[in-house]
Amino acid sequence: MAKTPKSGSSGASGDANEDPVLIPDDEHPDFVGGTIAEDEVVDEVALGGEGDDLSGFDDFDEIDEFTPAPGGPSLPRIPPHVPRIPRLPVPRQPWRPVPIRFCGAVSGKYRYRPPVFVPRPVPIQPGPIVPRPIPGPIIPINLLQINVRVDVDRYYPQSRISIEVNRLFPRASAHVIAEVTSDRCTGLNNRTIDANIVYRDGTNSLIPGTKVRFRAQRTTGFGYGKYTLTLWGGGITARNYNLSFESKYFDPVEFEVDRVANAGNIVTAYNTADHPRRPANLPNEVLSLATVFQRAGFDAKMSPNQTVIPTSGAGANGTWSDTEMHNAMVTYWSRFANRPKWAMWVLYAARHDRGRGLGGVMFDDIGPNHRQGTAIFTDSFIQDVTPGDPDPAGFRRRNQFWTAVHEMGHGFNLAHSWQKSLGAPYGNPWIPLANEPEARSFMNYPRRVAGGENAFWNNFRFRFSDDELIFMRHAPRRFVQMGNDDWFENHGFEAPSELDHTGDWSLELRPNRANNSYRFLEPVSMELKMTNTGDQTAHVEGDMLRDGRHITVFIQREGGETKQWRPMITSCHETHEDAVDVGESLYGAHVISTSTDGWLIDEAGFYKVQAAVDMGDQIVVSNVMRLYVSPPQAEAEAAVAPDYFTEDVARVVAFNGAPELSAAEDVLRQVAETCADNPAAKHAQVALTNPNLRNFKVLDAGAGRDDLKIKTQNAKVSTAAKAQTKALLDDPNGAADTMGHISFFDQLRSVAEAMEDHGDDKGAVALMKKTIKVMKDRGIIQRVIDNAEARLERRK
Amino acid sequence: MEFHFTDGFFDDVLQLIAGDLNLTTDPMTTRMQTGLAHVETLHLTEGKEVTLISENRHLKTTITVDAAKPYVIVALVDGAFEIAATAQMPGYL
Repeated sequence: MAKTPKSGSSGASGDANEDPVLIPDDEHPDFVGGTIAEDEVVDEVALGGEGDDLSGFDDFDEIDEFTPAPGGPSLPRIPPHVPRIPRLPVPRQPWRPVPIRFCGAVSGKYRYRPPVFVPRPVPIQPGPIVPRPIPGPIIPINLLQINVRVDVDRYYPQSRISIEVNRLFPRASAHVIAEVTSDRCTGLNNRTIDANIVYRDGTNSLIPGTKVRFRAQRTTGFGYGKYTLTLWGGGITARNYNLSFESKYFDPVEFEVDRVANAGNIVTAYNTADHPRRPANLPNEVLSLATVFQRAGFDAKMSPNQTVIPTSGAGANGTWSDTEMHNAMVTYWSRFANRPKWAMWVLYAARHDRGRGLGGVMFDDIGPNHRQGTAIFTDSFIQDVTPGDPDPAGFRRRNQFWTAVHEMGHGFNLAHSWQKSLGAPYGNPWIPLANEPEARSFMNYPRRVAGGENAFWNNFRFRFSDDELIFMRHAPRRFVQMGNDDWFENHGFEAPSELDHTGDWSLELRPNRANNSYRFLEPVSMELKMTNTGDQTAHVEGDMLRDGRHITVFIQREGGETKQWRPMITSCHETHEDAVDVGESLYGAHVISTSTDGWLIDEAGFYKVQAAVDMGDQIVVSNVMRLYVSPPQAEAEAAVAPDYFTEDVARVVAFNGAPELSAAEDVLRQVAETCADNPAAKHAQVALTNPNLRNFKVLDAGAGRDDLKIKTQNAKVSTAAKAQTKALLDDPNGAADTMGHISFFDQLRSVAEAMEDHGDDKGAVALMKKTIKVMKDRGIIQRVIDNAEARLERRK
Repeated sequence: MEFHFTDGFFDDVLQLIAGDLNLTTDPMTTRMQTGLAHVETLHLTEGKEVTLISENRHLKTTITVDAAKPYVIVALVDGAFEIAATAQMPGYL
């Protein structure tokens, strides 16, 4: 093993990114690299030829070559403390397959994502046109995300499996922690881990059952190839999820270390053999701040951005207050943002306003997002060496390194070892916790343990306690993640959660009318407005809110089940990107009452609606809109309901006309005549007369499908335009309210264009003028009015 | 002499009486990041007795000044004062 250097001290340049000499994982006594099979249950793995001779894999180097993913679950070297497979004399007897009973490490993070269905393109074939099924609607976004954290090996295993489920619609999340009850290696890289759920948070129904089974199996080659999670127990039907391996760590985190100019040399790496007072069997290696948290389960990285902060920013007195440090964090931390994220700012300064007695502090309990910043004070009591100490310089280096990790631990919402049980009024522990006054942990004070500092350091192994590791690795992430739950709330430890923060876009779902109240039978239209809230121009598909391929809407009748809206019309178009400047918006409108399965809003009552747009690299989630549908207000409304709420009528409404569905059209005529004061009558009139604005092609099956031919119904523009104008403009506010601005003005434009095509220029101009007046009366955005006036100008 | 009020305080007002000295602290609450609520510095001579009173908790105790151990750590544990004097300045993290 390489000789380890002295602990890292850095001056002006800092040394946070120096490459410390570490003991390789598989040689480290605290690292568990895998497990050997139990004797009683072994699935034999037959391998042919000489490769089956275990002695050929004496150090497993050859098997390592088959590791499927760097850093992933693999067949590791056998760690020193795992009993080695004995090399016994091979008896002279007929050859039999030798079971290889070794399972590599599996600890880490796994994900389940539901499959995304993409419509297959319909090939264009020569020959006569034949009817073919229209590709079904797609689910354009992943609605369910499951993260599984398996913690049974690698560093300081805690025998836990935690599961985190985030459901997009209706938004809900759940989290469970299960204690491992058995861990069986039943063959070469064939491992089954069972656990009982002992902790729940969030919506229980998302993670049903009482037991968890995690299986990692070899498929081809030597490494693991398949991972499955099974939820069962408690009388439920078992649920299975195929997982993909994501990381050997449980979460990523980035630390940025900045230093005030007068802080002097800072210690961000420590040689565990630097000071003679240490456990006799403590491995001799150089730990960095990142290493400590990597062994705690985090993919910890040091930010390359390191700033030396001029002393002029430290206040007139040269010391630092919490507020000054918070302001410095906002100014100097390259990643500062007031939102939860796995990142922390670590400041080395000389001294706090409170004086020499404060060695460090997690100062960030100011503002809305706590625990993002910590500070270490180099000119403080942590320089005070215990009288008689054999290595004062090493003592100071150790103290500074230990203090930094201690304060960073607070950033992960870890309390002091003796404060873990504290609840109100200070805060609340995430689970009932016992104090650990004797813990040899970064979170304890060395002087507080029995026997004092010497007793602490003689047994301190530069790690967090088991309870702390369980919290950091498995507690609901909002408890742990920096900037999420407030300091000391659920200590010992989002929705987020990642779903709460959708990056550079906001999505507004709105009815574009004065209220969210609808009449019975009235189709519900929603408008979507997506705004670039980022700091630069974005290039996105300009039709993404209109084409029906990027949007998902869920509708939940209160007290009823949640239904997914699938647009009846999805348009596939050549991909084109439009520039959307900061503050600019895209718009779209859809009738959400009707879906491919018929009507989703067909009863009186309250409904909740929420939309999401798949942007590719992020999902933008809308507000939840609550709407009310009134009961029938006339006998005629109730009478027509059974015929109205059918799939065919839904299609006629959604497509703005479908003459071949004559029975459905009859129902709409009935609505237009008998329910004239109901806004549904306007939709009916538009749908009934829209096909007459142009020549309308229908497939005539004649006597049967073998005799298909195209028939054209001739346009009746004058009649249709008159009917449409009446439906849309007799009560323009009522029509715009029920159809929504986008559909309403699109329809008026369509009527004007049909009139123009039919030679009625005068009528078209008159209609356009009326349209512009309605736009102005209703306060439509000026850009739309300008476009309409430009179109009008071209026709004058 | 420094009185370090550490764990267990929440909006506590304490009275320190030493001869003619009668001092009432501002309300103090333990800051969980550091485990410290407040530090009160008094200039007292060796052997002087200091009485510490918490009226709302109905607690009262007396401490004798030991110049060799000028740092007095006061905590509230299980509803009672827990007192420790030390020669070394306590530090907080």
